Amino acid sequence: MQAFLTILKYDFGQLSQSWVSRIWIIVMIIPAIFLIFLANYENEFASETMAFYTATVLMPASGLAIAVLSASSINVESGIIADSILSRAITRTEYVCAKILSRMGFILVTYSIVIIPFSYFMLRYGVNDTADSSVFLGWIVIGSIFTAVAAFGILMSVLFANLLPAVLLVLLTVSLSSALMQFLGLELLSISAVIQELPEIFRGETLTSTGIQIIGIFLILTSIFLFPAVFIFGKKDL
Amino acid sequence: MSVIQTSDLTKIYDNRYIALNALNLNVEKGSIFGLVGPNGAGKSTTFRLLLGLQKPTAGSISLFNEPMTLERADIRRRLGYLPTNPNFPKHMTPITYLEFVGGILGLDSRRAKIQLVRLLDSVDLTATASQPIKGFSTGMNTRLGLAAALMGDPELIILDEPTSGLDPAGRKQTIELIRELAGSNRTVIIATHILADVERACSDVGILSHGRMIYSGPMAEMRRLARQGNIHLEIEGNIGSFEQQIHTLDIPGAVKYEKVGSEFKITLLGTEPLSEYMHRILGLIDKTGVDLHFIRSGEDEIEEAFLRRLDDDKTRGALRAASWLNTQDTENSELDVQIKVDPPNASLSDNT
Repeated sequence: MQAFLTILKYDFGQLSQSWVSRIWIIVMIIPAIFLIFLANYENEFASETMAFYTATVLMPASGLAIAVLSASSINVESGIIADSILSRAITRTEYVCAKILSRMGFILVTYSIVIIPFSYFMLRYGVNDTADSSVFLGWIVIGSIFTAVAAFGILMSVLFANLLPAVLLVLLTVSLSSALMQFLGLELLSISAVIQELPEIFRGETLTSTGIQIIGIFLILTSIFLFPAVFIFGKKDL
Repeated sequence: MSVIQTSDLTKIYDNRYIALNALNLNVEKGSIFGLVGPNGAGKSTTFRLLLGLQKPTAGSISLFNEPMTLERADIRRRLGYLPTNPNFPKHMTPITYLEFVGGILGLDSRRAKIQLVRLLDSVDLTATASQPIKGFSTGMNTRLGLAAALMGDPELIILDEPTSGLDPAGRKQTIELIRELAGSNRTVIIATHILADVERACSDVGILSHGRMIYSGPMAEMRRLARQGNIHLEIEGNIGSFEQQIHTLDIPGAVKYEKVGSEFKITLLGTEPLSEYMHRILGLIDKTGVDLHFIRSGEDEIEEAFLRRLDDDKTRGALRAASWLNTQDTENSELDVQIKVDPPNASLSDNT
């Protein structure tokens, strides 16, 4: 357990000092502040502004940041994994689980740090057409999408030795699958369809059960990506 | 008691490259075992398999009489490992890195701090203990790797090229440290191609060539084998006469020599003891009336023995291939007989 906590602490420290994380936070915060001012002066609806922010800022910036942070979780350390970590008293399962927890934890904590104050100020200074519980549900839906993307990135990080193909594959898969699912009418599986539905979710016009269904789908996808990542890493030659 | 035992350990990468070929390795507790071999012989692969970083293609590994697998962190807790040109998290300092290693090993923070201070002092890194590792030279990295390998006070220490990148003083210090470590009832296994290090530090030696162990035994035995039949001398005077009669030292074909100026390096391939050959050479010197400047046996002895083993292995390789082909021929003719005598069995072997 101590080895697991050591890796968790080490990786979380690495992430918090990384330039990708810093840039990601800045890119999310500056437009958020601008939109809060705009909503205040122009009397914009909170639900519409938050959905607009999600579609134009949060998803593109976070998609890229999550792809990089998750797809770099294992492969960028390939040099030191064998020499400095796995040749010591830690199992591969402990190592990869610590990595998963730290990457997903960091992504969700960073997302919450930006989204919680943004929602608070938006509901306070914009025209509040939402219910607290529906806003909460909407952000959980987005969080579950981020979790699935991060899990896919971690799987790519186990499969690919280089960072660039892993990141490109994550971005390509997310964009293409989103369009494909919408085209096939599987809207609950399509990220772009879910984002289009977001104003209704924030206003409470979408059934809570539909929101929970979306969360469930993306959490199942998360597990589908993580199990092979743990299994493959456990059998890999280092 | 054996600390390391491998049985027919084989590693084939991607069904293309045979890195280890049925390796049988046995390292006794308390010994310093030197694993020597040319580059690509399979030394680092052996270590990676021993540590559970890679899966063997076939064969088995047992450490401390327990089977070693990829998930055996409990066995790895009893090991210390120094890789060749070790990689560290570059942003860390030696202090934070050794604390990190201590955390992975499950040491409590106070004990880890005491241990790291002691180790940084013994590898002479105290002055640079708070500097980032990214500025370190190869030698400093090796010394830090050595400190990290010793953090958990391991029973078995696996060192891959421990003197690589070190200056002569650093090498001497490292060899002394290895000797001290083994003195406290630990077992050390070193992979190196610096034969002088093996000679100075090791009690036992194994020679790897093309993934096979071609010699394994005590260092003293290796020295004895090395000394056998190698005599180096310098003479002055009627060198031509001496050279003409060198072949009379043993039966025809059993004497080889190299001549550089007035120096002779004579290799005697016969079975007589070295003292007898020495006696014959002194007799020849007397007979030809040359003046002797020096005579000695066993110069570069370990290197000679190592190269001789590799040469022998090449020769045996051809013989082994021939004998394997013979075996295959015999097996095929037996199979032919079986097919003729017993058709149902033959069809079964076709299917399988």
